[in-house]
Amino acid sequence: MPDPDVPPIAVSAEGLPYALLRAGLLPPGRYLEAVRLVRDDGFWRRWGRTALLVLAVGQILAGIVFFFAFNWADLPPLAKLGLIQGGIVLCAAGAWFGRASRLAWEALLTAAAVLVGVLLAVFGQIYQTGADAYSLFVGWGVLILPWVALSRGLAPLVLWLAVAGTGGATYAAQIAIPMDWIGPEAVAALLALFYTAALALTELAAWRGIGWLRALWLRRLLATVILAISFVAAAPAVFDEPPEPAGWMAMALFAAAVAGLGFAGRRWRDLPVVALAVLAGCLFLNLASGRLAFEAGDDIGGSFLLLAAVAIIFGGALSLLRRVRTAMAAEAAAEGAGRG
Amino acid sequence: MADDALDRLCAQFGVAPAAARAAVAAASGADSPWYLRVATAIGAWMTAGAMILAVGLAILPAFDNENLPLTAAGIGAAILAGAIALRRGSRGEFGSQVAVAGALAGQALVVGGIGIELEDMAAAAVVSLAVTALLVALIRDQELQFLSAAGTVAVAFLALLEREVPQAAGVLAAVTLPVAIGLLVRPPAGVDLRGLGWALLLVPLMAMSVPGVGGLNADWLPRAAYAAGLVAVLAMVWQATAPDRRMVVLAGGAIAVLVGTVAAAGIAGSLMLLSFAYLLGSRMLAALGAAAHVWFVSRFYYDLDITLLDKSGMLTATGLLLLGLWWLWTRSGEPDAGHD
Repeated sequence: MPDPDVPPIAVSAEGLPYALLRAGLLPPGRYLEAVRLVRDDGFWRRWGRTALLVLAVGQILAGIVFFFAFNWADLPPLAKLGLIQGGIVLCAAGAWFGRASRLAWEALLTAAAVLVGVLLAVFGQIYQTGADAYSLFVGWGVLILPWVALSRGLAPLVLWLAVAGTGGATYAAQIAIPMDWIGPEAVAALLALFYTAALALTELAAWRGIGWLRALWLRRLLATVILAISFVAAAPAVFDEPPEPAGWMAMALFAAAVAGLGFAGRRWRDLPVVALAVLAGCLFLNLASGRLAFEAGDDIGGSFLLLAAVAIIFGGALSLLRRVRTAMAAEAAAEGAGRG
Repeated sequence: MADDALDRLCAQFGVAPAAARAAVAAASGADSPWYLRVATAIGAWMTAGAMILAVGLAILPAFDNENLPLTAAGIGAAILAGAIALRRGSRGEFGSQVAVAGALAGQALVVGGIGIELEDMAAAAVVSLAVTALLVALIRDQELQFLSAAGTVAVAFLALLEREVPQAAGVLAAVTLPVAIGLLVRPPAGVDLRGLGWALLLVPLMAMSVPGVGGLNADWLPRAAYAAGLVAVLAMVWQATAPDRRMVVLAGGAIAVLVGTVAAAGIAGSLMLLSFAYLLGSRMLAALGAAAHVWFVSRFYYDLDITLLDKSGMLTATGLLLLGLWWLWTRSGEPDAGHD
């Protein structure tokens, strides 16, 4: 029974023996004995078994892949397509029979969805349809959409988001940009908006009680993707003299992404999202400072100007993050006290 | 979990609970979450980079271009001194990170400048060793200790390669491994040298990945070094295991030593890391060991001069053997190993 007057300690069990050793409370010769005493053997037993299983299955799968790679050229087209389709059926059936395990369900459905893409690629290789690469991704995305929707699994959803985004980007690169229908900055803006819509929908669905979409890592992954795409689109505009309208649009989009995700992260009390937004903003401001510093005409003066800018930008940003962290902790504590 | 572990430690070693809690609180400090530390580190390293650029541009014109290496070494020494002063005076995380970045940049400039001036990597390695010793003595920072020592081990490895020492990777492992194991299983209480221990343990194994240095071919010295390390670690695991479970350790250890020694030095090294992770109860080392094992097994199969069909047979047979071991382990319902 824990003592209610003693607060829980903030160090993992793994770090305890060394903390006692450093304080002179444990003789160095008995360090390993102390490590053994706090070791979570249940965890290590599970870890060892899982690692052995993953290694075994990985080697068997690699052996099967090598076998077909060796014989691939001699296989008739029907056998090639049949093998992949057989893999899809087996994965889907395995997912159904193993549906009691969330891990097996998601892993096997994701594998089946990946094999659909492989099937389309091999089909294109055998029949040389002459189609553009984007049609592979678009077709792949359309074909797996129904079972992604039915699977209620995050891994298939993330795969679909990646395939759909790649499909859009390859369509733009192969058709829309060469035909002058759209510029690269607008493509980046559309992609960022696509992932923003995905983030908004998943958040709305989670808020409405759809539990499987509540994973924090999905929110953080989407926030990272939105910031990365908008940053890559806006960064070249910093060096344009003067920036073109599309460049201004990309910079405005990036600013909106940073501000929007920063405020949303604050509202969700999700500090990693706030930190991502602040860090992205800092990197962009540093880029702009770099340009200003080296346009000063004086290398030495410019380099000291850059030093001052970098120190001020990061110093301010880290101070802001500390304040946000403190405020979030205070709000969480007040909420906890209110519930109590 | 950690509270229970601390209670067990206090009972076993006769430590007063209040003193133990005070020691743990002193060790934990007020650590930020990892993502804030990463954001701080990015800002600090960029600030340090801008500082080095500004100082370098300001000082360089005062020197003759012919003395560039020695000038760089001098600037490095000045940056090193500034970083040490900053770190010893700074209480904040940002200042500490700037000092770490500055100290490493200073070390690189000093070592590189002297190495280029003398055209001798061995001299550079000796200087790097001296700088690492200085930093270990003056700055208590595990990240800095690890990175500085890792740099020194890497320079020492380059010196061995430059002098065409036979089986350079094996020589490096044979020298560093006993020290690393000693520092990590019996850490000194007076000064924290774990960063040094990790660098001596991990960098020589990474060197095995450099093509043609003996990690994957028939060189005997690296195999012998890692096999000896594996035996030493397994002997400590064996000692700490309940008598009725020692046969399991013996059988598993014999297989690991045999497989590692026959296959490749890198595989023996990664198996040693995994055994060491269990001995120290270190989850981080377990993750590194697993990644190293997958890497070295993949490299082993890639480098084998046999057909894909033969590789397929080997992989499938090994996978089935491991699957059998996993099945036996799961079926045995073995209780937590390691506890008496």
